[in-house]
Amino acid sequence: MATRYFILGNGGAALHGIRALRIAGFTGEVHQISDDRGPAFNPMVAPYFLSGKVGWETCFPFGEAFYQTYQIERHEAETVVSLDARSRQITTSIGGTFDYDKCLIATGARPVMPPVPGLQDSRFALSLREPETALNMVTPLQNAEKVLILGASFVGIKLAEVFLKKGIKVVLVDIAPQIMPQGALPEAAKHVETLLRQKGIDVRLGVAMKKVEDTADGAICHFPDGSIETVDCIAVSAGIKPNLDFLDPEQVRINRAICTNDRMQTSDNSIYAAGDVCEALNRLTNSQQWMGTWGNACYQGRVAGQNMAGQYAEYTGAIPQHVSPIFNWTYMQIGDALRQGPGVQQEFKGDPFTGDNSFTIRVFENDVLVGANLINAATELAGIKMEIISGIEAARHTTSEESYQRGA
Amino acid sequence: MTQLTFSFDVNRCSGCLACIVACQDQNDFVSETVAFRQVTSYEERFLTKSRISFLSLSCLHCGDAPCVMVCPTGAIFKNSEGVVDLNRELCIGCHTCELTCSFGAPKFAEDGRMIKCDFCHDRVEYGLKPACVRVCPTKALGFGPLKDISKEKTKEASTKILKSLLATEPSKQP
Repeated sequence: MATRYFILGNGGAALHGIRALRIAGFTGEVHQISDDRGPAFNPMVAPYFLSGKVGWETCFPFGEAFYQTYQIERHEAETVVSLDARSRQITTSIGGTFDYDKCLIATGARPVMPPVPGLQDSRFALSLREPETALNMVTPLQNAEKVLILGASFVGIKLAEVFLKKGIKVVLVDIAPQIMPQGALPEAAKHVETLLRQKGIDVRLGVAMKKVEDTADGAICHFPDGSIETVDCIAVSAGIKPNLDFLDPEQVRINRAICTNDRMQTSDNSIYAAGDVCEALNRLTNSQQWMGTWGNACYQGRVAGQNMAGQYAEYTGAIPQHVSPIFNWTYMQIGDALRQGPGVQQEFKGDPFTGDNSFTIRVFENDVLVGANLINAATELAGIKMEIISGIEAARHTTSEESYQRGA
Repeated sequence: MTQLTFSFDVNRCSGCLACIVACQDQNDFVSETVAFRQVTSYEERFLTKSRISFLSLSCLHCGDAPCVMVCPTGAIFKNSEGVVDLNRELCIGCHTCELTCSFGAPKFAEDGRMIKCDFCHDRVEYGLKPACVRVCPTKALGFGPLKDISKEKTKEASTKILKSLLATEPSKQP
């Protein structure tokens, strides 16, 4: 019987895995199971579609032809409900059972719905993660007077910009005391918050919604202080969580996401994982971390595919980094800017509201650069990145040297 | 697929910046601060001796280009000559390529979309040299298919090694 490989998911990691598999010469059966239909959707592009910058088809970077080109047998609109690693069998929501020789789990992540009473069931709560929900935002964009964005994440801020530019009032709410709580230092976050307020966005931080009530044509959002906001739409951007409910943690090791080695294998040799569903090497801390970005997912998928095909490929890891154009600013964060401890120092330069409008915070630990936040300072990025990497290499060399001296 | 590449001889570069001016002229840049090529200097000093070297760097059109991999729309791609090229219609201006590139190659235009060195495609297509290569007064900059450049460099290096091995002083001859 022909070798059967199964790819679970239909995103960047899955498709790069498939492509790598075929380019590496794998000629067996490649089956793909995904809960969607049609070509792979990149949710990163959705805000730019909603702003009118690109067409809807640009949200599908691989196109329809990909699946025929790489001879994939698709099982669309099927959700994996269980994966038995011992018997190497997958069961789906419509009762399908499939035996596999090797499997790549690239099921991505889904939006987190904060536990606000009424939010989950609200007809007006939308997210950007799937094509259908992204398209559902088109109507509010045309007709809304006011929207509430739940979650001052990078996606939330981007959505705030999209809605504001259409002349819609925006309320941006987050339970955290600052915007961009993942990776932005308070000083950098404050500058961006000031920009958003200057643009007219109503930013409310350190606030949790009490409940949501649907009306005929909108939602009423209740706050603990007794105030309410009546909005046409609630855009939820409160983070994501990996899609791995179908896995038995007794069979496949799971931490915050699926654990992998440098070949993107899980604790079961026949199962690989890549993308937003797995943890992989953080080069800065030399530990496994969940770092979900499109670029990481693509590289991980490729490595997984190459290894599944019998080649030897290593995923050399990544440094946490993020970039976000915010109105006419560009915000970047790289490395571990939030590091704290006795040897940590921060170095500030510039002001995004004066002079050349650039602002940087460099974070050092024992005089070694470990992270940075940059606003309109892209010209400094390459040097900062090189310096962080040099620090990693020097630390590795020092560790090796110390080991050598100790006779280890 | 042919892989075109730039070559650069650090021993020849005088840091005149003509390559930057040529790039700005070729691409009709009006701002003095924008070009696809950058020249940096490096000074070495030891006691009374010093030396300044220059490096002229543009997009390296990497073989396995990270910007191609991370671009969320596929706007960045490798063309048939190995040049890292760009379809601006697909660019969303997310700056992910800028974050990923270790060489500062991606720049951004007024419309928010990326622009970059395209190896002077309009010139190379007609058998001309890229503007920066053509203008270089010391021939520090070169270009061509990677295989040919590699062969040339290997030949130069081998010649140097052979010369150093064969050179002997008269007093040391048997």
